[in-house]
Amino acid sequence: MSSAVVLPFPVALTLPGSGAAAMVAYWRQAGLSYIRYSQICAQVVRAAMKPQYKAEAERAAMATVKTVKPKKE
Amino acid sequence: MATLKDITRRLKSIKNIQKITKSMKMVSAAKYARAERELKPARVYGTGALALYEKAEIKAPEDKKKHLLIGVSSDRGLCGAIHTSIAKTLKNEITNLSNAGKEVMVVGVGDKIRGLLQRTHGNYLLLTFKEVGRRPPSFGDASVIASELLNSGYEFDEGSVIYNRFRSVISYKTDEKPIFSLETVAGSESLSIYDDIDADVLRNYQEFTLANILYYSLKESTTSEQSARMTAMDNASKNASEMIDKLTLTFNRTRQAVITKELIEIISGAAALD
Repeated sequence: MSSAVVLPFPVALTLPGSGAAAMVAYWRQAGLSYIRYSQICAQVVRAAMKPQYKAEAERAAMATVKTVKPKKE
Repeated sequence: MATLKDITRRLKSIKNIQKITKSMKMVSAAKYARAERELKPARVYGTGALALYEKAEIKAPEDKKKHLLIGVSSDRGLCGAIHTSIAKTLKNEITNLSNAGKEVMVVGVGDKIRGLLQRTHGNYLLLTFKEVGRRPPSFGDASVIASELLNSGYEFDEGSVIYNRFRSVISYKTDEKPIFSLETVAGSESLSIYDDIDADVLRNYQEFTLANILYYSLKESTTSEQSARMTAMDNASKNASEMIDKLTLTFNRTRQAVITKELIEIISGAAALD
């Protein structure tokens, strides 16, 4: 997957084969991936929930996985 | 012929082991029930994400060089053939792809995969993840894995996720699901039947699909693992109780032999006095 590139606003991307131009989303320009963007949106939604549902949502969304980078010898 | 004390010691330790395996079976039965309950809504994520690939019949062109294999398992053992089946599939795929001249990298989800692959195929390992299997997986876990993968800088053309698909309490199957790169999907001819697709939307969709597929495979994998552990611990408890029965018989026979020997000594001693 290609990493995000900061482009001057407004930006146009063309799909190969079609002639249409499209706007890159503001968060993509800021360097976020879609996964990070949706994580932030979900965090905001969880923070806006009522207290009795908030605790359950927070518990369901916990991520416990840790990365291990292999050591280069 | 073992002494009474040896047999008693052995009997005690096997009884302890049987208690432990029985309690492990109860624990995994509870975890399995929860995992199966959470699997049903999670399957929707996976089938939905893969539906685009199937409906649009996206296939990677044959000349693509860079491959990515993601093996999904967990950290903990005592669950039968769960980890070894994933590792075996991974090793076979690595051999096939390397012989075809393609470049392969492997991502291992779960410490067991790292342990099984590091010695022989350590140079193919791109990333591994640990602390998998302690708690039921969430979409947050899948997002973390997907983000790390995207940030790792390995620009793969085609990939597949290898996981254990849950079929029933007593059976699971090692399955493979494809992931495609942005160029493959964008370059597919049948994509023009979809309305309002531009490069940005496709890239967003690709990233989200990756997280979805990982979430689906994690859920299936944990359910298979818990059911396999339940079966394994059940078998272990049964074997232990068999051993206990056999040992109890030898214990009783040994006890009677000891008593008979003492009697013989006493009686022959008394007879010698006469």
